[in-house]
Amino acid sequence: MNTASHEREAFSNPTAHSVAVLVVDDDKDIRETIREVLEAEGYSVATAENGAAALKQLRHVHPQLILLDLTMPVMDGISFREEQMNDDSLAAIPTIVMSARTDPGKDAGPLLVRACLAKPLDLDELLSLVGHYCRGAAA
Amino acid sequence: MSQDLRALLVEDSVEDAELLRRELARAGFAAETERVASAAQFGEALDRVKWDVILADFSMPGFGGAAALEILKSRALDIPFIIVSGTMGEDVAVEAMKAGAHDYFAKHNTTRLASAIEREVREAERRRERLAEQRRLEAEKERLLEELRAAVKMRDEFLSIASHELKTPLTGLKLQVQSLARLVSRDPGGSVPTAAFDAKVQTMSQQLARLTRLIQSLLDVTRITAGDTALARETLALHELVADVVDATKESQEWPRAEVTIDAEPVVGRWDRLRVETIVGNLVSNAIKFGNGRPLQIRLRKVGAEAQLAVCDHGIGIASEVLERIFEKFERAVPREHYGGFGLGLWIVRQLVVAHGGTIRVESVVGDGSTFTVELPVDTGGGAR
Repeated sequence: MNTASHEREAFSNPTAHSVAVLVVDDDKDIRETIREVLEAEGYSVATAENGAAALKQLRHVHPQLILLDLTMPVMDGISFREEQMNDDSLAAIPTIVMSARTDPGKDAGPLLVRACLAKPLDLDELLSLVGHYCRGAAA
Repeated sequence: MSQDLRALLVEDSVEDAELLRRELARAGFAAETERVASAAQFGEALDRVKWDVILADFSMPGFGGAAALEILKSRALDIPFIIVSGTMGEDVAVEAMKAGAHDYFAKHNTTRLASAIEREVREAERRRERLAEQRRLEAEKERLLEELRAAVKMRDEFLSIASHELKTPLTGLKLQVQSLARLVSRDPGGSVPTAAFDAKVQTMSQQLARLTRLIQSLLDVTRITAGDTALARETLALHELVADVVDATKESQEWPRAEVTIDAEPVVGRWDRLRVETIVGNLVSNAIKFGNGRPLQIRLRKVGAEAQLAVCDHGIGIASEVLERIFEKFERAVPREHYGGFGLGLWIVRQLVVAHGGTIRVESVVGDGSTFTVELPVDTGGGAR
């Protein structure tokens, strides 16, 4: 799918701070570990601990990719995705689900995300997907 | 001997019916009888009364023993059915017995009728008892099967929860290990600073500790479920244990940072250290998890011969309709999709509190927080295990 126009739009938005990846996961260890490995590859990373916090973040940062957990308190990944899809300024941000559920593909199916990763994540797979959606962001 | 007997007479002759009545009276039955001579009357009599026996003429014009047997069979009624017929050849008798009659007599030769009735009534009673027993066993089997199905369903759900919970620390661990490998492979000269390794190893140790804790709680459940709650009591300063557990819980990376104030008076008693650590640890981590980031209060008092520990949060609270359920296995007051966890913490706490001869209760207001209060007998006596 072509999302280049939206990405350019994001860059041209002077009020939004551009980052490569927004990591949404309620588990602090996972958030920080993903931040660490992505930053080591030269990507800028923002994090949020649930869907509601992610929506708040998205008022200020405009990522090229969202990595989204499903099972989270306050607002889970499914509700977040619904909110995101209903917001024209956010709908086009490529989103990838990462979940420890038994059948994440089934739960993520209706969310129309770009990919669905099963936890425990594989670093090479994660980096290759991030590299695909964040071209030019890496140092 | 006077035996109560409800006998339905299928007989077109009023005189013959009267003869039968006398016969029954002479044999010592206090018989309640009724004569019917048509299918409609017969059916209606069956609806109205639970008959002990049916005495039927076989060859009546229009309606007779054969038709009566048919009706009885179609209603699946097990009532002794004895043919008392005036004209009855061997062949007709055989036919009647094949159709389901229990015995037959000629009207002029009824000397054995009374003993036949007694025998058949007794037999029918035995058949009913056997049937009732069989139904009881079947119901019992069905109940066990239902319990088994529920247990299997619960196990499956639990396996799915457990795998979700175990995968979370595994995710951090795997990413760290892979990123370490990546770091090393990119650095054949071996010039990566020790600090970079150190940080990763630190994180990995934390994930390992977390996996270990999760597996420990699975073992706790297995042990408790198997009935193994024997306590290794030792003299403990509960106020010190609480302070240590709170520190360790706050240090853990699993939960958001939370401010915890402890108001404890010294309480010494004889308890199982590991079990009490689990009780306090589960209550404190729960309070942090559901505490909405607001400060927690922990209060320890000695009340009579009991240590009273209260853990108070100001978080999401628990709806009154689920308050009782939260101590059950795999129960939770909130959807699993929103909060992780095995749903075993409070169940484990309650089992361990009960094993110590103590009690646990909870007061909660939705949106305002929860207070869990544990009371443990101090039990300083030398007789403790």
